[in-house]
Parts: sequence; structure tokens; C-alpha cells
Amino acid sequence: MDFLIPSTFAEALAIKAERPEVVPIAGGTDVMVELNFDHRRPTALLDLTRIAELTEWAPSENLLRVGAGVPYVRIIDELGDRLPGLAMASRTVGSPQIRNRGTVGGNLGAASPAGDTHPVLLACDAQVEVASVRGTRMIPAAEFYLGVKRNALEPDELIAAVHLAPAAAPQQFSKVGTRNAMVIAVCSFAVALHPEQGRVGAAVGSAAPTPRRALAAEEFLAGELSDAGLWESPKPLLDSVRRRFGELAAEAASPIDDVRGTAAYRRHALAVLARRTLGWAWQDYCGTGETRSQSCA
Amino acid sequence: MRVNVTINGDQRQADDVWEGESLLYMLRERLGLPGSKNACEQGECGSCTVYLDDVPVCACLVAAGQCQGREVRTVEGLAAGDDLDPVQRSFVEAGAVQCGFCTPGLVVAAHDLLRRVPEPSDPEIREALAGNLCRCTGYEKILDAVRLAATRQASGAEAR
Amino acid sequence: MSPLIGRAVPRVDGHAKVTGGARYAADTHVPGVTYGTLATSTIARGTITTIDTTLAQAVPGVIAVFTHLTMPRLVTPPSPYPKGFVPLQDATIHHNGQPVAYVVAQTLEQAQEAAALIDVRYHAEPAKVAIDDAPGEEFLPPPGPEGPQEFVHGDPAAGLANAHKKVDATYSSPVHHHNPIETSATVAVWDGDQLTLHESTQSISLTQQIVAQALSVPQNTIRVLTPFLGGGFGSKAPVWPHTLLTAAVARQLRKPVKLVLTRAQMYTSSGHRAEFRQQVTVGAAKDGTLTAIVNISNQQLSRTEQRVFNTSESSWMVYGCPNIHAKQLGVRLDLPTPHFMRSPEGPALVGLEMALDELSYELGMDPVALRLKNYTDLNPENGQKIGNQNLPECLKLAGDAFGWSRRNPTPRSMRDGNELIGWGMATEAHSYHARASSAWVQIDTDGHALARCGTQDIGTGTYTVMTQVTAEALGMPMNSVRFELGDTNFPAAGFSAASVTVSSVSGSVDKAARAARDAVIALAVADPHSPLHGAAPDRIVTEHGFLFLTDDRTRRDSYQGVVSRHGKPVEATGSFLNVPGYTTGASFIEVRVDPWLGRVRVTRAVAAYDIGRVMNHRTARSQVLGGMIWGVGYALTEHTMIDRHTARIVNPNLSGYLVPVNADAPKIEAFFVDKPDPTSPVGAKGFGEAPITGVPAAISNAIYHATGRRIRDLPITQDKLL
Repeated sequence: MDFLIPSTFAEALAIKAERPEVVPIAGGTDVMVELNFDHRRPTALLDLTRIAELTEWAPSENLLRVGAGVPYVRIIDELGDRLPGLAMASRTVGSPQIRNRGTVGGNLGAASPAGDTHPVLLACDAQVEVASVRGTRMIPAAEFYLGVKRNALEPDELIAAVHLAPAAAPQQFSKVGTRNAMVIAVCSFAVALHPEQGRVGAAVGSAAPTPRRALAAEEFLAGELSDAGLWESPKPLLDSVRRRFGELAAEAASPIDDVRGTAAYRRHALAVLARRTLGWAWQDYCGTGETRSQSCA
Repeated sequence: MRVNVTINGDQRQADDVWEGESLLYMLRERLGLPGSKNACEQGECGSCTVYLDDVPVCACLVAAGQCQGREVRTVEGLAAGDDLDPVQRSFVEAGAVQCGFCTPGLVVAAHDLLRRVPEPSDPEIREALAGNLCRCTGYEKILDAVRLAATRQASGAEAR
Repeated sequence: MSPLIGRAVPRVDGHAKVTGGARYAADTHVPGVTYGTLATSTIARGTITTIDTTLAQAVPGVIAVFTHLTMPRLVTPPSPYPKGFVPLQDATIHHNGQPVAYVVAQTLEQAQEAAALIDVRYHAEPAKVAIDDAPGEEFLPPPGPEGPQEFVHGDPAAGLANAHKKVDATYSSPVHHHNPIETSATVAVWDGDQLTLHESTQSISLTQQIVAQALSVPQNTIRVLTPFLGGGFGSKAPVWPHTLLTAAVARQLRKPVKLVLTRAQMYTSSGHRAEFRQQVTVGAAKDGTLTAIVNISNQQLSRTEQRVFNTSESSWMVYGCPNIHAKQLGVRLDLPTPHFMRSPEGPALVGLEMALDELSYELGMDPVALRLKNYTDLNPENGQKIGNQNLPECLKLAGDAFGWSRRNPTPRSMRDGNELIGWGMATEAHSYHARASSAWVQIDTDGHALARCGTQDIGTGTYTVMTQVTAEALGMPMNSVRFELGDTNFPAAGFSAASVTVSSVSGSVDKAARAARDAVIALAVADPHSPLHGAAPDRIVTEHGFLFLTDDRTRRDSYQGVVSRHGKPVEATGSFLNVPGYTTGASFIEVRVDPWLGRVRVTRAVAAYDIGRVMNHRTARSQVLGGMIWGVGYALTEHTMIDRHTARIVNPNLSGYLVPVNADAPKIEAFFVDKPDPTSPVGAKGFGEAPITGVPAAISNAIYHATGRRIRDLPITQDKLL
């Protein structure tokens, strides 16, 4: 086995082009488990932790560009105000030790259906910036996940960054686990309000072979909100709307029974999570405008 | 491969390191530092928690090669000689130690918590130590120990 | 009595443990050590047809690959070796995860790579891995060390027929794994025909005995060392095959070999709590007096062993009922041999305590009152009193502290916002065994004492408590006493399991220390240079390292003075066989339930126990806190899942097998009756396992109170509450 330590991203891409079978490693929170358990023995590890440009985040046009190697702890500490949904999901990842090392890039690379950040990236219309010696391309999050632990990366590509718009309105993320901390999601749900587009982003995690947008739920809610003029003059949502939104969100899933929960439980819990997160996000939205606060009291 | 790394302030060199090897294995089997414990190899139990460039990590999830030129501080490096760190002293006095196998990782994690948050609330302690499994104590005395260490550090700071 | 025993002194081994200085088996550094690894079976039942090690042997650094064809022949040790067979001796496969090859290499990585390259072909037969796979195959196993598998007292059928109210229900719990944080490790070092084993074991003497039997060598050629143990909970009490195999290959290769089981291997190599199912029928008269207890259980056994570990003593030891029938059936499945796991009497008690909660609702009677009405301190097997058995005081201590009298018994009657609150309780109970032990105490010319006993400290505090016992018996300050354990060169003691260590070892340590003290007193009164010269020995007391004449405390000498004048250390030994007994207590639990998601949090726990004299309030309390969190895991999260098609464990790791984390721990209060038990020289009863035995039932009962849902199949995962 080789241990390759590129110091620039260009160098890393050159290696990946020449040896597409090398396994990139950053925080190691997925790759090292596979090595420790002897589940795989790659011909080489490509250490990305010395590449400065991967560990930076910066505004890029109207978006924020978050380098693939930025650990969760920095998303929580440094971007919590601008990317609240991503920060919420990051807070639920493993333990402090894991959040100090694990990265969104790694979450995307592993493409586990249970990855915590995926539903947020989907609900927030994130773009994944991937690169190779052939160039750079942007993949919408919704097109990135292809199957269980499969993503849209070509063999010579590496994940460079994710691009997300700073939140203009409330976002929420919630997950159901099997104990009070250190949990892999039984199921998870993210919702992001996009008032400027008159729509809501919604996505389910850990309840299908890939994380998925809940399109029917999004469309239903967009219709309800614009029909009632709620974006302009927000009022508390009717229970029937929240409930229907939850049902449609659950229908987006195609869960299985596994060690963490049954398919039926996942569907039920997703409906509850969707209803609750929408309620919290909408309540925040009602509360944010100075003129609106009265009407939502 | 060869790895040069600073451990507890000492320049150390490990030879014949396998490229897929973890920092934990290198510490325990090559560098004579078995204080950090190997118990799950998947970042679930926290028994191998060490500082890497001042950031607490699971040593089982760091490739040894990633430590080249970096600084590692293990449980063996917390005390100044016989003089225990306040966190270590509090773990002994509060009865937070039973079989002791999770203790090295817990001590490092608690040490880090008190550097970041000098007076943590109970939920903050539980959250910060969520990645350190203990099968003996029921965790309560670990909370006592962290509270005791926090009080000690606060009064020590006042004294200064 | 001196106040030293009972005092909550800090652990004497604390410093070593917080600095990383405590050396556990896998930490042992041996020059030239080689690394062993096990290749394990991927089928559960059948035979190996071919095994090809060519590729494995070609891996650089590989020293040897042993299969059933090449492994040195070993003797299968008799019970208490729990396995019934030694792997790598023939082609038969008894369970998934059984070792099929043992690889030794210069590094672990080389050994693992080689193990993965071994090509094993099997003739697989259909396997049964769950009680439901084998309907009608249950049988009554022969009597075990705890006695017959069936107990009948009075006329249970008549008792049920005469009952005013009855509950008849089936309760079940799944396979559990101990998951001590330290995985099992063996380092075998031969020097000529002398073997030193650095071993993670709850019993050094049993390890010495069983390894000697397997290798056909005299027991005294083997030295076993376990100065520190990273938890065991039963998993390290027996001797398992990996230890025998490591000792054998190290002898064959004439090299030291280190084997550390992986976490995954711990799920097939060191026992588990058997899947358990019981039908409990209880009946009571109108006033709550029990008229019958019937407890028919069934549990998994292996194809090669038939000892029953989940035992039902609680059916006849806790409540005075005239009509009792307990029957412990077993069913052979293609799984590893189960064993005891903290606490083996728990599963049966859990069903009984849930059934009594159900009965309390049938009777319209408070569940505490129902238990007070029926508790006993007489053993129905012989009509004798079972030592101290102060269950009523435990119920009162814990119930008052919990605020039980404020409970509205109606299910779903207590809420906080959207959360449902439930309060439940259960009795806790566990027997403790008798084990012989011996100890040696030496008082040196510098006035310091050294005590040694071949016992273990599994994390419960043996180092500390026995230092206290020695210091108190000698009348010395604790810092003048050093206690050593974990070495078969020391006087022998039993295993550290079955709640036996303190009740057994404290007796021999106390006797040895008193004998040493008496020897020093004898020297003093005979010594013309001593101020105590000529005094009557029984008029002399020892305190803080000094010897005083009781009638005239100005006449005094010191251990250091007497022994230094004597010119050589004074030593003495002591032996003791403790009286077995039974320990009871009670736990009260509060849960909060999110009714929409079925999420349960245990938010408050109060427990009280009668454990005789409390030896160290801190370490005793720690046992309660630890047991409580085990109960939380048992009730809510812990479950080893076995795929019924492949017979493989699906979650052999700490991400899938959910041990409670810090955030799952409730606020816990613990109380003790703290009255010396007359059967023990120092007044101690066995205690380690009693906490946890009733907690899962108390949690389940609290969940019923919160939600109105009675979940009889543990763990109570959130999907079951929807």
C-alpha cells in the first residue's frame, strides 16, 4: 500500500487521474473503519489533510463555498448563522471527536443513505463541486446520490467543495435515533424555507437507498402557502396543512427494515419529523419580520 | 514507511509503519504508549481519544501517516510528572474510575471540554462526553468529576 | 469498629488508571512478540471440506498458519470450561464465528491479511439460531451447579384455581452481549516448559487450571497475570478457546504470541446472554396474598453444552408463596455457548416483576403494597432464614426518596407538556456464591504491610476495598498497606463473578491480617525492649500503626518498632470459605415518553439495597449506578440481532449494538440498609449483580404507567410503542 501526501489540490487530482483506484482520506471517520475492520485494502491512500484550499470556506458570488475538508465542528462554530440547517445536521454527527475530524466532503464521498448532512444539502439546493484534471463541474445535490453508497463521481474525480446559499429564511433538521447521542439516523428530515422563490425545500434521509427530496410535499406546501398569501403575511399553519405535509414527506421514502428500525416506523416517524420541523421553521419565519410578529402570536 | 511525530513534547520516530495503520496502533505497538486503549476501532467508544495538533480525535480513525510532522498528546502526557492534571485528580477523587479502560479517553475528552467551556452545564458535559462509552460507572461520577475539576480550575484561576 | 471499612476512600489504583499507567493484558510489552489472529467460520453448522492456506502462508511476515489439520492436539477440558469442544481439532463447525485457522505473523497487519486469504470450503447444513426456529425442541436439561432445573413447592395448580385474580403472560428478552470496553486479550510467553499468560480474565486460577488441562501440563508450570481488567461482566469469567489456542501455538512456535480479539470476534468468542422466553402465571387472593407463582422458561443452549445460565431462583427466593413451580427448559441452537452475563438471574426476575405489576392492576392494589404483602426472608427449599433480607426497608427507603406516594396509578395520567410521564418499580434480587480463598499478609521491618491474594479487580474496587480490610484488621493507616492481586503465584482465590469477590476474599484477607497482627503482638509482649513487654496479648489493640495497652495507653509500641527489632518481616496466611446468600433491593424509575415517536427517556432512578455491611460507600454506590445503566440498556436498546438465513450476527460492533451513552443516563440515587450480615466475618454480602436485576421490569412498568402499553418483549424499542 502507498501513502500519498499531496500538498496541493492539483497534485491530488494528478494522482487521482493516474491512479483512479486510490482511496482519498481526510477525517478518516469512514475510511479508517473499513481499514481497521479489514473490509478493504486499497493500493494507496491519498491523504487530503495537507491541502489548504480544501479546508477553507469563503463567499463565492451569491453562495458560500465550503471546502470538502472543512470539519463539522467548523461548520457549527463558523457557519451556524449563515448555514443553520447544515450546522444543525453537523451537530448530530457522532461525537465531538468525530465532528473534529469528519467533513461534509467525506459524507458526500461515502454517500451512505444515513449520512446526516444529505437531507440538508438537498433541501438547500446545494451544488457539489467536483474536480479532475479534466476540469471542474457542478453537480446539484439532487443528482449526486445514485444508490446505496454510490455517487456521481467519476473515478478520476475528487470532491472539492459544496456551494450553498446563505440562509435567507429559517431551516430545520431533525433526526430520530435509537439513543440520546451517538446515533446513526433511523430517519431524518430537513426543511428549508425559500421565500424569495415562493417555495420550500424538503428532503428525507436514511429512509430510502439514497437521500431524497420530498417533491410532492414541497409542491403541496408551495401551493398552500402561495394560495393563502402566507409568504407575504404569514400566519400559523393549519394543522391539516402540517399533517398533509408530513404524510407527503413520508411517502417520499421507500424504507426498509434494518437493525435500527422498521420500515413502518420510519414512515410514521418521518411524517412526525416533517410536521414538527415545518412547524418550527414556520414559527421562526412568522417571528422574524417586525410587522409579522403580532399576527403569529 | 517512517513517521516522525512529536508525542507529549518528544520527537519520536516510528519505522516500518504500515500505510493503512492507525495512529492508535502506532502509539500502542510501536512507540510504547499503551495508555490510549483500543476497544472498537470505529470511533464509537472514545477510549483512544488523544489530542492531534491540540484537537481531540479518536486515534483509531487517524492514519498514522497523517500524523507526520504533527503533534500528539496522549493521556500519558497530561500530568506534569507526579503532579496530576486537575481533571485526572478529580476523576480519582470523584470515583469516576472503575475498571479504568475507558478512563484515558474520557480524561482527554473532559480535559478538552474544560479548556473550551470552563464551567459546563450538565447537558454540555453529557454531550461533550457522548462519544466516550463506559460500561461500569453509569456516567454519574464522571459528571461529578468534571464538575469538580471545573470548580478547581475556577478557584485556581481566582487564586492566580 | 474502626471507621475505615465503609469509608468512601478513593481508589488506590486511581492514579495508575488516569495516567495511562495501568497495564492491561493487551498493553503487555514482550520483546520479540508475534501477533496472532483468528480466521473464523462463515457458516453456523456443517463441516470444513477443504482449507487452503497457500496464499496465506506466502504473505511476507507470516510465521505459521494453523488449521484443524495442523494445530497441536489439545484435550477438551471438563466443566467449568464452557465450550464442550476445542476448535481447530476437527472439521466440525458448531457455530458461526468459530475459529477455523490461527495465523501468527510478525505484525498484526500481516496476520490479518493472511487470515483473509485462507480459502475455506464448507459442507453447510441448515442452522437454527432463534427459539422460534425450533418449536417443540425444548427439553429439561440435567441438573447444573445450581441444582435441578425444576422446582415445585406446594400445589401450584390448586393455588391458581383458588386465586381471586390471575395474570398469565409471556415475556421475552433477546441475545445480549457483555461488551466490556476491553476486548479479551492473551499474551502467551514460554520459557522452557514454563508458561506465563498475560490474560484478561475474571479468574486467574481457573485460567491456570483449564489451560493446564488442555495442554496436559502440570498446573504449577503456568503463571497467569491479570493486574488490571477492563471490565468483564461475565464474559471473561470462563476460559474460552482463544486462550488455549494461543498458549498452544506459542509453545509450538517457541515464540511469544499476542492475540487480541476484535470487537466483532467478542460476539462469538466469549459467551452471551441466551435468548430467553418465559411464561409467568401468578395468582393472588383478594388481599394480594400470592396463591401461586408458575414460571416456565425456555432459553438457548448450544449443540455442545447444556448448562442453563438464566436461572429462576427469584421465583422462590423473594416472595413467600405456598405454591411455586419453576421450570428451566432449554433448546439447542447453532449458536455459540451462552454464559452468564450481569446478571444471570435478571431475565427470570424481569418477567416475574412485570407480571406482579400486571397483577397489581388486576387487584387494584399498589405494586409496592403487593410486594410488602408477600416478601419473605425464608428459603422455601429448607425453611431457613436467608441471612439479612430487609426488602421492606429497601422499599421504604427508595420509595420515600422517589416520592412514590404521589403517584396516580392510572396509566397516561401524568404529563408534562407533550410528554407522558410514567413511574414504575420492581424488586431486585440476586444470589451470591461461595468460593474459597486464601491470602497472605506480611509486615515488614519498616512497618509497612503487604497483602496478597490471587483474586481479581474487575473494576469493582477489589484493590481498594481489600486495602481497607487489611488496614482495618491490622490497625494501620491505609497508606502503610499495599494490596496485590492478579497473580497465580499468590494464594489462590475464586473467580470474580457471581457477586462473590468481596464476600469471599474479605474473609481470608481479614483472617491473614489478624493473624499477622497477632503475631506482631506476640513478639511485642515477649520482647524485653518493648513497652508492652509482659502484657496480656488480649489487652493490646492496634491503631494507626501503633500497639496500645487498652488499660494504659501510655504504654505503646509500633509495628515498625516491634518488627524492626525482630529483624525480619512477620508473615501470616488466612483462608476462608464464605457462606452463600441472597441479596435484595428495590428500584423506582421515572420515564418520559414522546408519544408521537415512541421515544423513551429514563429520567430518574432511585434504588435501595440490603447488602449487609457497606464496605466502601463509594464503590458500592458505583455498582448501583453501573447496574442502573445496564438496566436502561436491557430495557431500551441492547439487542444482538442474528440473521435467521445466514446465522450471522448483524450488529457485532458498538455502532449497531447500542450500549447506553452518557446522555442516556438518568439521575440516580442509591441507598443502603447497611447492617452487618451475621454470616460474614466482616458483615459483607455479595452485591455486584443485584442492581440491574429488576431495573428492566421497573422501566417497562413505568412505560406502561406512562402510555398504557404493556410491552413484554424487550428491548422496548420505539417502534413497539406506536
